[in-house]
Amino acid sequence: MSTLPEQPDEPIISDTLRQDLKDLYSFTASIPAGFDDSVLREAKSTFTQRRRFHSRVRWAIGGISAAAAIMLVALRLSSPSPDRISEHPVVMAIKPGDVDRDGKVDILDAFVVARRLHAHAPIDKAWDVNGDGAVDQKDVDRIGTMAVDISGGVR
Amino acid sequence: MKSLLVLLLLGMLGSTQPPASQTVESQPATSPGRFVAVDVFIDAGAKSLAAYQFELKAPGPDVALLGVEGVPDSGFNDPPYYDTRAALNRRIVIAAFNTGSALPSGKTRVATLHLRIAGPGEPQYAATLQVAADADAKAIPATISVAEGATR
Repeated sequence: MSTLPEQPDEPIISDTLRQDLKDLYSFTASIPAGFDDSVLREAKSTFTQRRRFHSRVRWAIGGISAAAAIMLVALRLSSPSPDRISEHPVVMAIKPGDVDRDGKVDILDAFVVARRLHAHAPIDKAWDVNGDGAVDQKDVDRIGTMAVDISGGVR
Repeated sequence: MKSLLVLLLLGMLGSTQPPASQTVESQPATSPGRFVAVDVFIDAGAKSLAAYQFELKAPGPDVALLGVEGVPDSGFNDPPYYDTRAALNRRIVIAAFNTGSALPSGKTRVATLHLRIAGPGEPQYAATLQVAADADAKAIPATISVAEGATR
């Protein structure tokens, strides 16, 4: 296996050519003395404006987030959760004639009123189902009629 | 008993006039059908029965409810509460109470229904006890049964 002859790293050129090439590619433009300062000022001004803009955006996002969080908390506090609803007593509408408040009108409701009337015991004004201002046998009969009503509207 | 006689007489005459407040509907004079009394019993065992409520159905032939009466000396002498619009082939709810002290116990006939059966076949009575209570308006265990009486 033959070896190649060693090649020189740089071509051999004359000093004149070297100098001419240097002169040809060297940058010799003159820059005014205040140019650097003006570039720096401009750059600082631009960066400062950008920094302010980013800061404002960050503040705006933070403010909106805080406002949303406050609204969520306020909504949460103002609307009771199912657990909190169960803590409060449930107020149910009592059907007219449902004297014993078991959710239905049956003969026991009439019986309870009749017993009270028969015993001259205290009477609840809510038992005045016919609205004539008195609780009497007419109300007992009205409740009894409601108990056997087959229309389905009462029972 | 008087009211029963009135009912029977009016029914036999085929009158369209409702007798008293117990007649539910009337039939044409041409098809009087047969008249049946149905007794309803409630057995409260050793407990005193002060109030009851039951539902009765009688699907089958054309059954007209003529009236419902209480039972003398049973503790439920007065006619019970019932809806005069009820049609027995659908359902009727009957209820009564007694605020007195003479309350029945054991198997007691509490009501009698007077029916007119126009169509062929026999009605199938189905009674459901909804309420049975003592003098304190407390529920007590009880059973209900229905028996068709003699044709009257």
